[in-house]
Amino acid sequence: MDEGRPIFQQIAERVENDILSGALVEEGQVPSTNEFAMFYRINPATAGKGVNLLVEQGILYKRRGIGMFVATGARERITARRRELFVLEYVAPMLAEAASLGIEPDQLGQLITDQLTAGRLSEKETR
Amino acid sequence: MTAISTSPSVPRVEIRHRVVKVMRLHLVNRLTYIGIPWIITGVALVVSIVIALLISASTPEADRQQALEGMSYSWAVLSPLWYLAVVGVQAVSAVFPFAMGFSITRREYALGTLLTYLVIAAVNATGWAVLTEIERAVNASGVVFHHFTALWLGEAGVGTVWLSLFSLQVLIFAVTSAFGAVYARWRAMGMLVLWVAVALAVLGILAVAVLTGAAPPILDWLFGLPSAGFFAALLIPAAVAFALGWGALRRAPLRG
Amino acid sequence: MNSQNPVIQVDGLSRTYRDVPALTDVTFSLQPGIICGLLGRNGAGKTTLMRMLTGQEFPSAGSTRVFGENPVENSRVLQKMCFVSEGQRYPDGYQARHVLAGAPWFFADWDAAFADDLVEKFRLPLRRDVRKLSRGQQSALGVILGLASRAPVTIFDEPYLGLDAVARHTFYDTLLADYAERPRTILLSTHLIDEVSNLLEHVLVLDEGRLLLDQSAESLRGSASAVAGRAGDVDSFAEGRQVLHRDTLGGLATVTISGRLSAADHRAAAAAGLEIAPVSFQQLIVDLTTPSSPRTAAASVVYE
Repeated sequence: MDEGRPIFQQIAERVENDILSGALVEEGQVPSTNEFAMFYRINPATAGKGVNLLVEQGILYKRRGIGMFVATGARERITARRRELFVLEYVAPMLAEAASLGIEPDQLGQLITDQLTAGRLSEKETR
Repeated sequence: MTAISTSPSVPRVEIRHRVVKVMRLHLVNRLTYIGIPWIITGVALVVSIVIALLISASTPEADRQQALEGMSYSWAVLSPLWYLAVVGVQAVSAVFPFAMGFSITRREYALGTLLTYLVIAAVNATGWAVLTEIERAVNASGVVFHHFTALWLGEAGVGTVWLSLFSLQVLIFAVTSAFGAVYARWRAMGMLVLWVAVALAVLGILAVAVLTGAAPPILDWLFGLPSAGFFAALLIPAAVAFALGWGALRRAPLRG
Repeated sequence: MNSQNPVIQVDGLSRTYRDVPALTDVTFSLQPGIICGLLGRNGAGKTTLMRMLTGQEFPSAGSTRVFGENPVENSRVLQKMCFVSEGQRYPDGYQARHVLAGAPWFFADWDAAFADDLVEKFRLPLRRDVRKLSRGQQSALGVILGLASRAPVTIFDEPYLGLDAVARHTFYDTLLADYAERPRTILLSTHLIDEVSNLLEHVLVLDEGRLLLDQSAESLRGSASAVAGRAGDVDSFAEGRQVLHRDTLGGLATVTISGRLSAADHRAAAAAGLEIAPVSFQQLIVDLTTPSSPRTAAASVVYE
């Protein structure tokens, strides 16, 4: 667990990651709150808070007496939200920093393209 | 938090049951209360037998009878009682903190311990009284041997024998655990005060005896009692000691 | 949060030994069914508080309520409580099997099968004088008592002394698994804060007999940051913020700042060439209870 952030958020993120990676499939059952708690060695209430966060967001849903399942469309929803976050957490600060350094938007586009090409080249070289 | 079943209400408890359980807790290790006193009894008896054999072997036939009669002044029969003093101190110094760890109340502990003392004293007294009677029968058959039939036990009736052994055990338990409790509550200062108080009481009695040239009336009364009455009267200081012990234990802090 | 009656309620609790205060005006309440950490330095009053909760000690002032009743000499309440004390004394000649045999008579919810299971897990010798067991084995016996008692209020006072890392993790895992199945109130005093911080739902911190913190573990986590860099830059960044602790090394300084930092704060710090690191749970408690820190002021800010 990462020290700086609330554990329940980190639990929710890990479940989301597992859904994105396909480790947890839509309409598949996810481990119980207690299983999460045991696995990550955290307080069950904290694990429950993380799971409930995902239930509120419609990523998971409860079937009474059976357990917790991944909702249909969960993957899409997570991807969409992470894209929004990507803009907020990466693109916006990048633009701000670029502006403070006097990098024009079209120059920025060029930098990204160059970086991608360089990345592909170095990838080829290593092969 | 998810659903919680723990309702903050508590059921009624029969305190009598818990007092009995305190007795069971004392007796869960049977060595302390039963094993060791009877091992000491056995060892003391063996020692007495060996001494009797040595006396028989070393004294001429003519003096033998009289020499063996000398054993009726032996205190060996009382040797297990000294061990009970250790038990009384331990009951406060070690069993009490242990019992508190089992969520036992002080009152339950004190009552349970008192009952344990009474039961153990009764059982031991019964055992020793039976052995005294057996030895009396052996003596009646002509063999001279005194281990149990020593001191007043050789002369008193079986009822008095039992009562005397019972009272002495209860007194020793009560006095030693009272000392233990005073120490637990007030530490060295409490011990000092208690010893000074005991010393002053003894000095007071002596002073009265010296100044008036006669024993204080209470001692007159005590020694004037028939032996059964005298031993029964020992239960009075035992009760006083127990009350003192309880008073100290009620608010004694737990340490360590 | 649930709105049930608190299982433990402490009001203005104080305890003085002769003239030395051990606990001063402590007030808090605990909801049932949570794992609560009781943290603080040696001599902070943790054991005194736990003993008063279990009726083993008597308050000089204030009151303690457990299940709504005074626990002192109250067997109705006490049979629902188990206090595993760090220095528990055992009578001469008592073996672990004697102790375990007596436990069900006093703990209403005792589970003997679970106790047997734990004896095996901790490899506790049953037929040896408890006083001759190693420190770790004695701790294991205490842990077994506490867990198998399944008491609705279970209190552990530094239960791990002498236990190796494997045994400690066995304890944490078993505690968590059993608690998940049978939620109950667990109060745990410990120095190994980092090891248990993820298990805790609530935290009480005592310092010099006073209650310094009473808040959820989640709200405490990440509620402080360490900022490091050139002393001048660090101090200007810290200006107007609550500083819990400050260390200097030559021209460099590290300050622990209370409160969560915003994205703007992070950018400002980066621009000033400062490094920001999250403060671990344990470090936060250490900073809060180190004498150099402006204690009361800090607490009022961290307390949300």
